[in-house]
Amino acid sequence: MHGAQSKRDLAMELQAQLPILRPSIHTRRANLTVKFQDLYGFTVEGNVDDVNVLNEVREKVRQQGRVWWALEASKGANWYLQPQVSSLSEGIVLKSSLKISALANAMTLKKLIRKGIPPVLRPKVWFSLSGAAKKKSTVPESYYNDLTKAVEGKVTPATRQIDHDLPRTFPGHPWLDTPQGHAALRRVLVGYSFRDSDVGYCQGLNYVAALLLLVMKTEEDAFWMLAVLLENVLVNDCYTNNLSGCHVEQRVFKDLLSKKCPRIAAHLEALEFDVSLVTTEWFLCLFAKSLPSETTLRVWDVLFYEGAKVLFHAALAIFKVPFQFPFGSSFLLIIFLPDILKICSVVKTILPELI
Amino acid sequence: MSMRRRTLLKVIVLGDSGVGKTSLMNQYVHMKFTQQYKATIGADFVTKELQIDDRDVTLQIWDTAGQERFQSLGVAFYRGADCCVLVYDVNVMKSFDSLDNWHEEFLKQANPTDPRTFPFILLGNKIDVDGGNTRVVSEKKAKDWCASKENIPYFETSAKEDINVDAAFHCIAKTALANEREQDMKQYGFIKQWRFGYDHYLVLHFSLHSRDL
Repeated sequence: MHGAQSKRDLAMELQAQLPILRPSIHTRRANLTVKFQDLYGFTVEGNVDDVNVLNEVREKVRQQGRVWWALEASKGANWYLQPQVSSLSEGIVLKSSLKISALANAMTLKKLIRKGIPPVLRPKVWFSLSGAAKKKSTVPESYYNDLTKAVEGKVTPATRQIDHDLPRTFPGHPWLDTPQGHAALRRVLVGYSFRDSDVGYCQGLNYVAALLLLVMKTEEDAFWMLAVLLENVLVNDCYTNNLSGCHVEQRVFKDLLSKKCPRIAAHLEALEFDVSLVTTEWFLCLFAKSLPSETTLRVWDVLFYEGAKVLFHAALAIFKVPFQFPFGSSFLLIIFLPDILKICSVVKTILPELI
Repeated sequence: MSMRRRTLLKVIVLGDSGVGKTSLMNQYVHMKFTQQYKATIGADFVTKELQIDDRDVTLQIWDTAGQERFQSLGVAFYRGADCCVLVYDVNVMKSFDSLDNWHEEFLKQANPTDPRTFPFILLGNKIDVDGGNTRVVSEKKAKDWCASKENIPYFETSAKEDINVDAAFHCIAKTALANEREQDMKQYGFIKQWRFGYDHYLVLHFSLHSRDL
């Protein structure tokens, strides 16, 4: 009894001191680096405040998840697939109401996707919305298995480069950097290199395919996602022999930057800074190598529904990340960086973190 | 508050995929070696500050992707280079055979004022592998190649065991500096200095440095 009493006293005393103690606890905690694994097994480093921000974001995503479930319950599991308005026997009234509901669905869907697809639903939603499901349905069921069997043991320049890159894809990842992970990634990349001999294999695809594997869970689905990405979603010839599509993207992005952010563009031009120094990696890896995985996948959520323009949105956003002063005002960080090196390091390391 | 004037030297590292470009660079700058590098896409860079003959020099070393099709991106990366480092793996013949191609492509895309005197350096990497038993390119063969290209300096290195890495990069910096001086004498008649030294950005510099840039 007595012990409990003194404990309670102590607790009250501590509580009274808390406001005074808090700042010092806070600063100590903020300097503490924490390592933890994100949803897809990547190790993330940050201080306690970063972790709190991340948890807030996760909570928002969880709330979004509830919205998705509710919609599934009221509209049916595959409500986001466009309803087929084809049967002739139905009256015009029904048709137009169907069209309206399709339109309403599309609008809801766009908004929802921009707020992030819940991780559990991601494989299913990506697979149908990107067109991968349709692509897969046009070939025999056994296509992927036949393909991987047929190319087993073949050696080409593409397979040699793939073998070289497997251990260098996401080194240290608990699944990707294991023999099973390497083997799965190898089958997907080698399989694709034979499907499209113009592309074969291009460095950068290893990161894309690896993330697809982590999300889609099965090799076959990851393969079809890769196929639909390269053949339908992205700009043509991004990964072919002279990377011509990638060159086009760089030029378009440069024009876009000077149109949308003239101050940034002028500043970069004065320093003779060629944005392609940093953007090449973004467009070839679709941010997989540059942004934290959960952020990348949010970009991909929108990419698979709205198309390749999304890459430009994301790249512009990184350049426009404001630097927040503690007392509320903010400014465009890039404009204040006096040389190319600082710009590169900030754009490559700090800005993605701030997003 | 004044910043010390530094000379900025841009160095490009080229060579086939997997010969150890990133490893060499990181051994030199961070004195670390790990097996855990990600394959480079596009280009990446590191910097190192050093002193050469009483000159403060910042070496800006650009790492590139080794797959052949990435050569088409060269123009942006090679611009303004002061020295080009070619790397091959002494255990892989193909990486040695590609040197001609890398050399040629660099000159074509960087388009230096005098291609004949533009400084190159050749590094034969991974000499530690299997005690040298898997080696397929002899030192003589490499030196003959260097002799055929206006006597390019040659170093045999191991990024893993830190053999000759410092010496090689010191030579690279010296060569680049000499080239820069010569170029500037020709073009402007004075030594080009690092143009940026805005004092009022110092606060920001410090706050960025504190984040371990």
